[in-house]
Amino acid sequence: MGADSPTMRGVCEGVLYRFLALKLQRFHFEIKSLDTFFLGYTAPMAKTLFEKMAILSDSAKYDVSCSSSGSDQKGASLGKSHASGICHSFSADGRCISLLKVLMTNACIYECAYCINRASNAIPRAAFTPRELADITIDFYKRNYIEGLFLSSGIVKSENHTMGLLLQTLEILRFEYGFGGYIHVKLIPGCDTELIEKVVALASRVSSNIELPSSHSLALLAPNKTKEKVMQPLRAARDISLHKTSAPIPMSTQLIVGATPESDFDILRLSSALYEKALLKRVYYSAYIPINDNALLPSTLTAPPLLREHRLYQADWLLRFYGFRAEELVDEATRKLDVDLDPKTFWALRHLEHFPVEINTAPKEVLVRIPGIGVRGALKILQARKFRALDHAMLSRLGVSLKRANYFITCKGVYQKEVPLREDHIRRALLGPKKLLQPSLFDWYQGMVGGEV
Amino acid sequence: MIVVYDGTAEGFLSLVFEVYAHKLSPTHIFKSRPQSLLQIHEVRSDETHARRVLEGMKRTFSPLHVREIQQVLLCDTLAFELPLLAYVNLGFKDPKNLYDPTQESVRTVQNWARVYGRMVHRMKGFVRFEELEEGVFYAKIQTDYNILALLGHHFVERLGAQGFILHDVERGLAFVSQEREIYAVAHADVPQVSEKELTCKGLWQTFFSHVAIQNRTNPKLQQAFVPLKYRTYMSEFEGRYSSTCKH
Ligand code: SF4
Repeated sequence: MGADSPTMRGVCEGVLYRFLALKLQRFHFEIKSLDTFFLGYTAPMAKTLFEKMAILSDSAKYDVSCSSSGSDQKGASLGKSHASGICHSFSADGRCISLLKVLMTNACIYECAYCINRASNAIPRAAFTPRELADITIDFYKRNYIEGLFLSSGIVKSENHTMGLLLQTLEILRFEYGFGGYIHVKLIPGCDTELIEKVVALASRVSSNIELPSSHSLALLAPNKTKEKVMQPLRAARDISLHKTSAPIPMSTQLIVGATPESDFDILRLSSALYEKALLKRVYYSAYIPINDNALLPSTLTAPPLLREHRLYQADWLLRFYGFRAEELVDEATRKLDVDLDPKTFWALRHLEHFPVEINTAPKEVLVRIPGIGVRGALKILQARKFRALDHAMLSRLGVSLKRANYFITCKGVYQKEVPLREDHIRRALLGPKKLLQPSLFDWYQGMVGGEV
Repeated sequence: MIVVYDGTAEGFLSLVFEVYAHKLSPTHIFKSRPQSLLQIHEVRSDETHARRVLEGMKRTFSPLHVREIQQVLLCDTLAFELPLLAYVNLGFKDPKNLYDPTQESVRTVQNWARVYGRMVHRMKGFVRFEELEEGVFYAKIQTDYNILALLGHHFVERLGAQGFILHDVERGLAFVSQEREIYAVAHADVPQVSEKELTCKGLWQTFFSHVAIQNRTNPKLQQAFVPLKYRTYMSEFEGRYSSTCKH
């Protein structure tokens, strides 16, 4: 193959980029402004707004810790955030678009192995100015494209400098435009508490991504980060907002799933600890999409573990709204969630001593633990049985799905006759004999969005 | 008995009035006169009658149930008449009945109200405004049910002092922000958009196509959330920026 065939050239360029980028990284302390940071960088700084938009939304899209939901900005002249969160569109991957999610800049002085924006990656770099980003946000908001802004950034120059850029954008929006819509700000680990305080006063929600579920993995793959450092801005933010009002600012984080060997048990135990300490409102899970070649990470040919991510979201839902504890769903002995069954069914099959449940008498906490009956289904049952005793046919008419629930309930004392109440039998009945065809991702997500598990 | 009314909310309430006043028991209710030689009872819209029925419902039913009835009345493309009439009857017998989901008409009306509410919620996100030369924001909508008033008030809160017009193309109605009123649209010209409009739309389309993760492309899922009928006025789904994105 000739030296100038496209692939060879690609490889050479890659080496060149890496070399240059590493050199730049070593000197970044002397660099005065963002523009000079890019001097000598072979990839030209993106020029038009369109190019910037393309690059900076590309680099932000792997962050999923982003959804809008109610919070009120008093005295705003433009904008109002909606209590239940509004999706303004859905992207080709079927995800809700509610916020303008871009990076301030995708330039970064750090080397996190899993991240597409790490310093040594040969990708085009770009940066918005705070003014540009604020203007686009307002233009988009007025046209009803978005509910608000997700403000995040690669680390450029220093943590404080980066946090400062985000704060400046926030201030333009709140003070100049009187914008009252939703703004989610990523706190930069390692920046000063003073900056965090200013951000917390103006943002609707803040977050800091833990990314890897154990300190060991962090040390290995994100040498500039520690769990302490990542949690520090969250703790600071909570303390600051608790100081001012009784309702702390809502906070969230993201965990990458499948990049490192932590089990579902490790992950869910971490989430539930974070929920219990009331530190976080949401933990987001992101199936790792291999972007970088690194011996410590799954190869770039590995498919992202989407099903596992989905099961974790279901389990998380059970933690937050159904009164389950992490140890009930997975434990030292069973460290993995079942792939074929949703976590609630998985739990119920291992605890058949609680079943069957009589639909006409069980209290709400027990009803919601029946596989296939969600909070909505339980409320329907409670309402209807005030008027008369319910049988199977009436449950169906009420819109309560019996597909899974059937094996775990009695109605007026009657249990279905076909399948005995035994783990192996029910499992077979639920999965069917020809479990050759996996349900499509479509079906999983439908369930997840409805939130009924 | 076959009953015909004019398809308006006022007409339906007048119909309810006559059902009670004249002890009617309709088997079919039509919004326009069917081609038929059978005997047909025609209800005339009557404001006094309609008001009396509405007041009666507000006195007797809980606000929640009155709102459900109002929402179903705005589902103008549904044949909601008979179930809604049964529901109202049930409520006048004993307002407690309206809480009983084992009653069929209660379930039906509740479901419609829920579908209506979902449509309003979806459209709060899917409406797309364009800036006109005069600085007014303008959006066309196309919806199965009449949700103009609810959407209009939502955007009054959202856009504050910014003036806007929301145009329901099929119904020929427009909500105007300053007056907070709905007008009948006799004729609409193609509006002149502002210079900035093209840039904004382009930036939005760029953002939209780049925010999707290729390894997770799932058009079926996307379509479940944004059914095709909603896409008419959403610029991100225009031609080359359709659901799949290329780099
Ligand atoms: S600090 Fe953030 S942007 Fe920079 S390499 Fe690490 S994860 Fe990526």
